[in-house]
Amino acid sequence: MKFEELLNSPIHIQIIEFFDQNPASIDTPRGVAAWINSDRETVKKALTELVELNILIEYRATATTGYGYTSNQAILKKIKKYLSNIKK
Amino acid sequence: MFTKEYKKELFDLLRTNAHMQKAFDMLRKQSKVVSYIIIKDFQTKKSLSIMKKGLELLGIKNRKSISKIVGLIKNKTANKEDIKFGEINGKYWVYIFPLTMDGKTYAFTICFSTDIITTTHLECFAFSLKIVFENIYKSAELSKISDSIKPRAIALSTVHTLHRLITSSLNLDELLPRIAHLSIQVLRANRCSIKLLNDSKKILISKTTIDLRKHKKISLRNLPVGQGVPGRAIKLEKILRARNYISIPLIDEEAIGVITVYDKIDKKPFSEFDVEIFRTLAEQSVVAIKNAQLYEEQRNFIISIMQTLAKVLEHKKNEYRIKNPIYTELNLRIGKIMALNSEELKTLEIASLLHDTGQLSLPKTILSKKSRLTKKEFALIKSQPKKTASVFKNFNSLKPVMPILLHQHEKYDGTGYPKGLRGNEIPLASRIMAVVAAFNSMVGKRAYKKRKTIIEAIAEIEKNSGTQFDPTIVSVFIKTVNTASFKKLLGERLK
Repeated sequence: MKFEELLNSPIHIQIIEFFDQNPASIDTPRGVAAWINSDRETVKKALTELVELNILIEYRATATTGYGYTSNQAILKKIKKYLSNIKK
Repeated sequence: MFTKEYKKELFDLLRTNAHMQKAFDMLRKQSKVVSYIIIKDFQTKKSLSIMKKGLELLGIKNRKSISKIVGLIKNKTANKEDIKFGEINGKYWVYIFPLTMDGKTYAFTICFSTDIITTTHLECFAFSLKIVFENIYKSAELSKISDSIKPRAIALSTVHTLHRLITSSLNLDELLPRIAHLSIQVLRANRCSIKLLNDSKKILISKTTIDLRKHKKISLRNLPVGQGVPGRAIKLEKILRARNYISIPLIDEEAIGVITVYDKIDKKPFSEFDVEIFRTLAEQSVVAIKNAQLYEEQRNFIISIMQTLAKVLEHKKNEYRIKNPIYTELNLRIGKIMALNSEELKTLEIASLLHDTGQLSLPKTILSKKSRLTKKEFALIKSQPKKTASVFKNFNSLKPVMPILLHQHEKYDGTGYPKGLRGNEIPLASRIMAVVAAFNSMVGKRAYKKRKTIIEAIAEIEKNSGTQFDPTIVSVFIKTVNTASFKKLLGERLK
């Protein structure tokens, strides 16, 4: 998935908005699904795709995978611009 | 009580609420009401501007008239009546409905009618307004509660996830960088360092530093207690916070180290909330670090027991003139090149130490026999891996070692024993040990055969690559044994 393709995906946008509003959060797919009121499997798939785009960072342990927001300033800037365009 | 922000939200909800519009529509059907406006008060410029626009719609544009009307409305609202009304401009009747909750007025609905509205209709409308406003007020209050609880709930969920991520590792080498990465993530910081106290408790040994800034050289600097920010935090056993750092001593029964984060990525100062989150993370980290340290101690204790056992075994093997010159070292060298992690290397090390423990159960006559083994004797040899594994089956912490010991005599083409496993079915460590065992057997002393030279042994292993041995491991083995450092070590051991 390319960054631009996110424009057509509500679930990806919801996840990005969640992490943009809560950048210090680290949560599991179940947790993120609860916050954005969506189902776990769909969220899990979207989270993996957002990791591939370096928008999210994945923390893997034996039985848990946590996802956090990128700290990369260039990506954060791009996302801010992208989110403000959506709101217009 | 609502803050300014929530009062605005409440007012916006009032102005856009569909039920409010419906209540007004019903009143319009039952009377001669022509328009209505909602204003917060009669003081602010914005409220006056809304009121003037509302009046202008009725064709009342004269400034003096407007001021007169505003004055009239002000006077009427000063009374204690619930609904105020009066005639304006000789043409309209104005009705003012204050929207109150718990004795506090939040806004006013002003209706303009071309005739007097009956008391029944007025009361009905006022009642509808009251119900609608109560619902809007409750909805705004719920939104306020949700807005204040949600960030805390999200933070709590983060703490829970952190706990699961931190406590899932018992390997210090893996755990400490993970804690540092997670600290950077939740604190939105650029840098995190973890230092642990040495045995004398006087020096902080730098264990890990993660720095997100590009081109910054990472230095793992040890610090005497009392020096630098981490040194002071541990000495005072107190959390130190400044604009660009938070340093928290890691304390269990006693201080074990210190964790420090530096520089928020948005360049803002660290807050009290950051301290709270970091304190929770540090507390979880202490438990995880202590568990990992205890596990490592237990593991080292077991390794030392195994080393003692291996020495006893070696001593017995010497009686039968069996010598494995470089078995464990070579296994570990190949394991490292094969990218085994530290945990897997430790398992390989233990398996290497114990690999032929089962030989202790074999009769001396077999081990020192120079002639060909009988079928019965060979069956005894084949039972050795199972015996080796069974000796240690009661050690829970040796569980990962068991399959390695059990399958060390399997062959890559499936013709080995005890299970006849083939290829990748055989544990990687067992495949490494098979190559190294064959090499040791060829170059080391054996009662039943003459030693081969290193070149002959390598050629023999190469010959059996893909049949007896895993070809990938053979190629790593050949590269390893041909290094100068290995040749030197082997030369010393073979003396």
